[in-house]
Amino acid sequence: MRGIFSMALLLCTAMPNLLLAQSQGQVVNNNGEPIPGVAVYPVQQINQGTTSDSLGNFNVAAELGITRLVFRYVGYKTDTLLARQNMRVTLQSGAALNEVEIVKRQQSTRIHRMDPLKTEQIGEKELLKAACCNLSESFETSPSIDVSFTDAVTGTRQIQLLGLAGPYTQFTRENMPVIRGIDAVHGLEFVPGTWMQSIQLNKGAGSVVNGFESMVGQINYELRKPLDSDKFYLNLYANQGGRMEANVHATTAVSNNLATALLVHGKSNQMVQDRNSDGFYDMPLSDHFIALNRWFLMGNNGWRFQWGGKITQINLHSGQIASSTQSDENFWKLRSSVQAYSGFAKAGKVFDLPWKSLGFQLSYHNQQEATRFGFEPVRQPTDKDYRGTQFNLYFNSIYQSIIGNTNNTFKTGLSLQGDVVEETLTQAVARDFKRNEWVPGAFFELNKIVSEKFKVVGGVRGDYHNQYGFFMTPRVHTWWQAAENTFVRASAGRGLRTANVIAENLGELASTRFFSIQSNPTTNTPYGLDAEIAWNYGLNLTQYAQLWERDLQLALDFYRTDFQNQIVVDRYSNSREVRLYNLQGSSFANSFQGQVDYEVFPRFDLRVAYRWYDVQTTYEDQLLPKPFLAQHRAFINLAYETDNRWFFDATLNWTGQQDLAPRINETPGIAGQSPSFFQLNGQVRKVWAKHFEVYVGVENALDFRMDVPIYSEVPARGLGQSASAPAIDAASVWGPIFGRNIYVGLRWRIP
Amino acid sequence: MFKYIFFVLSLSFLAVGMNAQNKPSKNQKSAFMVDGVCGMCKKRIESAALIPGVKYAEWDQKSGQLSVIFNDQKIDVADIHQAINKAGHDTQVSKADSASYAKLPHCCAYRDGVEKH
Repeated sequence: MRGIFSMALLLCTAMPNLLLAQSQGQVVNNNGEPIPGVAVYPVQQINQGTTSDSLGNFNVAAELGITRLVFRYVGYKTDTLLARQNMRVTLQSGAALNEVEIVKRQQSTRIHRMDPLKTEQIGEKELLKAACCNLSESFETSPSIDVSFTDAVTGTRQIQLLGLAGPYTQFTRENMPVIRGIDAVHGLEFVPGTWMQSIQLNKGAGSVVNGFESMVGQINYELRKPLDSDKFYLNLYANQGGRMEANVHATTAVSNNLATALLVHGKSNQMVQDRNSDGFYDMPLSDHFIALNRWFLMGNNGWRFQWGGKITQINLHSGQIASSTQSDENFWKLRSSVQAYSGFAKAGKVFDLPWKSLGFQLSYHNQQEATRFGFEPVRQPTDKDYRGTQFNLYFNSIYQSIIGNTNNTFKTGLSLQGDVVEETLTQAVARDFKRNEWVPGAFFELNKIVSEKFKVVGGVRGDYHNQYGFFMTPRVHTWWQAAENTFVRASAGRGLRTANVIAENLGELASTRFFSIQSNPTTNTPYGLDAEIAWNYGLNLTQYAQLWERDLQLALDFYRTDFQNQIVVDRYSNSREVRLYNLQGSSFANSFQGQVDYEVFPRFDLRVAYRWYDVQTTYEDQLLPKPFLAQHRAFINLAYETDNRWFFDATLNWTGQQDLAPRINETPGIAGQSPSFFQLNGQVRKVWAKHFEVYVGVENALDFRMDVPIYSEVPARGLGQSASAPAIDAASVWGPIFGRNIYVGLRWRIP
Repeated sequence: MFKYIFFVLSLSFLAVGMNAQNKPSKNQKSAFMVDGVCGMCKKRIESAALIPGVKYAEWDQKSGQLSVIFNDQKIDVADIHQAINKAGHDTQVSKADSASYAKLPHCCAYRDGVEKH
């Protein structure tokens, strides 16, 4: 009898990891009153966590006596305690700043098991692995995202998700849309890496709560907040290419319920680099200054308020290098300047009932930009001059509650999105583009737990666009626990957006090729083109397993994006022009990814991934593969840390052959393939006394680079008084330009 | 431009206003002890408690306390006790009949000496 009971007991407790047990307890405030909604999670594994219920009780899987649990709630001091079976946790109230979590062990990016939307959480420790320094450079250890240069002169890195360009992904800062409009591509560079606390990546259809523009996925980033960041933080960085950066953060509690954070970023590169001796800068000379100030106020009756503002100033100079003795000659240059001002405000109310909340979001963004590719001082007809100003306004309200019981939660609300954009593109003659887009809308999203094994999130929104009219955006996600450690998710959804055709293809201006927007003169829509509309379908499988008593995570996913309309960027049909027009025919993107995460031995993590793309678009009347996109890619990341806090990290990326579009004056059609290549990045980091750390690393250690990143017929001494403008093409980039780049940096914090 | 801003803002404030009206609360909170021993019990107890009228149910395995929020104009708290009894679990006021209890898997046999696990 006893045997049967023991057996049954064992079956009952068969957990993915036998070492795991339940840590339980109650969170209370100074007066002994329970605090509901407190986030409770193992250090650095926020995905494995839970929140306390209406009576302050929590129940979380943790290794008792080993795992350190974090208790975090707005308006209270965050606490970190060793997991025990019966805990009574008292959180100190007031806007006190918390201590830095002592992090012994960091798990790799994990996928939340129970969430119907497959979300990859890229945590702070993952972000530290990236060599440098802004949002576009933060995905080096994340195989889902490709990063490539848009051209060979501006140094702008563009991300690609599911084989499609960055603007098809919706970016949100703390769930408010950002990096839109004329900011869409290079806006990623204006988000300094050290400012970010975490990134959430969601491939596929996404949620309707944040708008209708997402087509292939959503990337949300959380910035450092007044209540849970260091009092003071300093980061200094320098690399072999002459790039120098400084980041300073400071937070302070002004009173018991008011706190503020100031984040400042400066970057400068004034070192002339021309390793391939082609007479062009390998990297632009640049100055960046970006600063953000934000506030948090704990109000009465469950209200919380946040607001803040950001300023951005960028100056770039690149192109042909003019030596002092030849300064009177005529050189091809890039000059660019960007000024942006933005602000945001949020108000949220938590109710006495655990399922109910109300939130308001408001943000605006104002940006001015001037970018010129052309000859100095004597202008040529092939020069390109771009000027843009934009004003964006965004408002959203979100009310969350239940229908019947907590197995049916919903979010609903109203939103307004406004974009006022004025642009001028001058190529011999100036052409103006003006647009006012106003889109009020409403949404409803239901999160239904059908059974313990099956959940559905279904959302729909209706929006009225002042130029495209009324449209619906449905999106569905399903989650199925096929076996104890096997999770299958499927999603489908629609997205609609205005293509910012010039700004999103600014790299194409880095050439003497004519930039031809083939507008329909009879329509009043932005650029005389239609809205882009796409449907995305996804299917993925996540398997958690134990291999030789160590955690293994296998993730397979397949996504398809079908364009109903797309603004085609045609580099194939005519090599003297890049043509942009409404899609006539089919355009799709298929992508498959397989990824394995495994802890080979204690504190040594391995991540291996393979990706396959099939992205084809109808160019004029021919279905052709998208240029400059490798069909096959592979990725290996190794991470190791020692007991005395040395961290080692290496990433090897393999990029397969890419179909190339013709360079200027070549024969139209596919112009051959690029060679496949490897890129190796490595980093070593040492942490002392948890407040100070030094890192050194190398990008592109194998020193692979394109032989001729810029095709130029301009003489090295400059154009001089020559009558005809020669051809230049810096917009046909398929690989690294600069080669090996060693960097060093330090981080110092006062908790 | 301003007509859109006006439209959305006024609708939002309307929604807030409606929400802020003081309606008599239909949300009654209650907490009581329920016998059970494991994670399987937790799932069973919580889903049994979610009868029509019950909006929220959370059972704490360590303390054995079930917290519920329910509409007291629709049901009585005794209905929740009965529903839990029917699923085979005893509460602090009423017991499950032996037929219901017998349907529990061995590992959840809290009356027969299985300890919390």
